[in-house]
Amino acid sequence: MTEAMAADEVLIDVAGDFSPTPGGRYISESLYSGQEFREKVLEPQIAQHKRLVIDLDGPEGFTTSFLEEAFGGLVRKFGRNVVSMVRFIAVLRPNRARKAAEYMQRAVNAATGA
Amino acid sequence: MRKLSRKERDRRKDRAIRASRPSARRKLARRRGKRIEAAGRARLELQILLWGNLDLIGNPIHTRQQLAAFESIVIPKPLAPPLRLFVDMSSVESLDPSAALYLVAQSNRLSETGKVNVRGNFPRARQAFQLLGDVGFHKVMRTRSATPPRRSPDPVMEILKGSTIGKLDPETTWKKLHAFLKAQLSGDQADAVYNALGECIENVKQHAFAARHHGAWYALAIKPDEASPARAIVLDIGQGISASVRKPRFETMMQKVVAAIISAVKLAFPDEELTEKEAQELLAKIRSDDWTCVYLASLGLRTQVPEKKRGTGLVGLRASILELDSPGALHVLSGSAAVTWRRAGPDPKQEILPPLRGTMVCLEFDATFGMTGPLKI
Repeated sequence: MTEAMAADEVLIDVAGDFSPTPGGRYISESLYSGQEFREKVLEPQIAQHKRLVIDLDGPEGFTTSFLEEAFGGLVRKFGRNVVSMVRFIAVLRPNRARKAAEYMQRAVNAATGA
Repeated sequence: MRKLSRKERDRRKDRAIRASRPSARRKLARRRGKRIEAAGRARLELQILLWGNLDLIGNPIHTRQQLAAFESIVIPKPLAPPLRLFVDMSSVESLDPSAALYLVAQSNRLSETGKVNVRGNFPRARQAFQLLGDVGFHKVMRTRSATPPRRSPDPVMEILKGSTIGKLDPETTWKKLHAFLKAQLSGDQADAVYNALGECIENVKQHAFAARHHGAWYALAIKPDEASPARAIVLDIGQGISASVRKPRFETMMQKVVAAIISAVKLAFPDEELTEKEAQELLAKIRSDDWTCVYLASLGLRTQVPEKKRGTGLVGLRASILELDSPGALHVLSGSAAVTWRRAGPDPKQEILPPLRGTMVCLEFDATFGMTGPLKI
């Protein structure tokens, strides 16, 4: 399961802690959805004011909907300050980290009207 | 002589009647209280002739004109005898996987009604013959051929069929196709395939069929070779992108406009009869064209979905192609539109094609990875 990196930092390995085959957007439509990942894995940690280090290297891949719902959804729920609480690592596939961060930023822009 | 039981006597009588005239057979059917198809009654039989080079991406006009014949088949009503459809493919010279997948989907759609028996023959051309075997067409279409095509022992493509009913499970759907292809692709290409398959299949579930209707989706993964690119294709025979992104109010308004035009034509030319077909063609022309709908949808500029966060599917696919380090293309075929986005290529050009039901999304990558990628070094 999750491995503590610092006192307030938690490493989340998407493949190990959630699924090696992430699905679509909503729980009602797909197994291993972005909504399920956000609600079951991300939100409990954020609610405890933990900083998250999310390892995106493990899964087979991601759908756009999954990334948008999981990370964009986090911004919509907790506000734009949540961006500073989340860090992505993807050593083998750096594009995954870039895209996940991009979806968080887009949700911030949508919320602030930027 | 042994005295026959009543049951045995009835059985022999039935057998004698069966061997006799068609009218007697109908009488037997009535006596049994069953509604069977009467022998001698004319059965509807239709034929579709396919020929030439069938390729929905490379030779769209010819291919669409031919494949549209499947849409003209009217499914018989429940009490009517089933329709026999003969698909003559003997003159098909070459076949692209996109067209083969469409053939599978249309034949399945007709067969699954239970009212159309799809029969036919196979192309004489070797490539087309084997391709139909690889996509499993022999399971869809009945044939009298003694040697129908079979799947190659080392197949270069993998096909998957699924339904929009129930939750999608990545493990049993797109993971299988992704696993089939990923060894042939770079990391970012493999990620783009995973995204394309997942996103398109989810889109079919959400948008391809009208509310409370369900249907099938088909996905095909094709390994690259020296001559052709790696491909991932998702197809549905649904309402098309333009119908799913149009606003209902717009549609209602269009219906009223068409009704007004039909009345005006009848008034102006009382001797000219406006047929249903002509009216439909008129409607198709008046509607906002498919190409613009698909083009704007792939830029994320037009969606019916009220939630702003949705409608990211085609946009994400387009981005994944444009951001690749190697050449690749995204083809979106829906209705009369075909929009192609290429990495480092020009913007898509508007082209109006013969309409084709459903939506096909095809992601393709240049097949150079095997020669230049890190696995070979």
